[in-house]
Amino acid sequence: MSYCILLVDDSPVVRHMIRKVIEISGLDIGQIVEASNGSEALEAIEKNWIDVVVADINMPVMTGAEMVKQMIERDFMATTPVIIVSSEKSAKRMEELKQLGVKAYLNKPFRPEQIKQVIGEVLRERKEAVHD
Amino acid sequence: MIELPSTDKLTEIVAGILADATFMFVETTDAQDWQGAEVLSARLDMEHGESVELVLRAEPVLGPILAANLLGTEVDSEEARASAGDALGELANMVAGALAVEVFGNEAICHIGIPELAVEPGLVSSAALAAATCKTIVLTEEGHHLAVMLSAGASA
Repeated sequence: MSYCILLVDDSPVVRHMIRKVIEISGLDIGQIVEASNGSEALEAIEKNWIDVVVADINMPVMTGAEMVKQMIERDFMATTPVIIVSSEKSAKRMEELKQLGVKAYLNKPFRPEQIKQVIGEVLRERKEAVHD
Repeated sequence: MIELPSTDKLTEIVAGILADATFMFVETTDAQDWQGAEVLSARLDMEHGESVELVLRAEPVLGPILAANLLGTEVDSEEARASAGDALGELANMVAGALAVEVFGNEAICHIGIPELAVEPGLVSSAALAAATCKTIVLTEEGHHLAVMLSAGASA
């Protein structure tokens, strides 16, 4: 079973960095979809089966936090796991996102093995949840 | 009035992020030593009650180097050249994330703006240097300069 990952960041450089890590990670990834803000991400989730969303917080048009809130309100997106990759280091921000149901939080700058590990763990959970 | 981190702390933060994200190891130098013709700049605001402005000003040649190191590609590649501004913006974003906790504390949810990119005249503004609330450091990586300026703004 191949997975589909949605990368959401306004920086093409960051999307490219994460895409490269995923492509060489050995994870069974069938498709990587990209969006440059939360609004585009919601459209992408409506059009594609997404197994995990990897998103930044600070983006124009719609932030990552607002995107997560909107996903919760839309039934078919509510269970799609979200990993936040952000430069923000505030403990309060991390707690806020955790309470919204965000699965994991990675700080920028990140090490490639951190991205690989976190995405791998979330996909394993996803697989178990889909099979249950 | 908000208290900005010392120039030593600012240097520690920026140098640490450059080392972690781009494997670039920088040295400090005097601002007066650098009078480039033009620079690539990234500017963003951090707000939590009060605002702080962060400006990064890099010699244009440093942009593709940053991009290449972030992307794991060659400095003279089209990809690195095309991503030069975005790479500086992302560096500003990472520095702002670390500074926000330093300035506003770990319990504050601070608004970090989107980096504004531009090509500007090269001199570090004398007005900015003279401003009491402005902290400026200049770093070099293999002779290429990067200035980092931090200033307290008005209450948001």
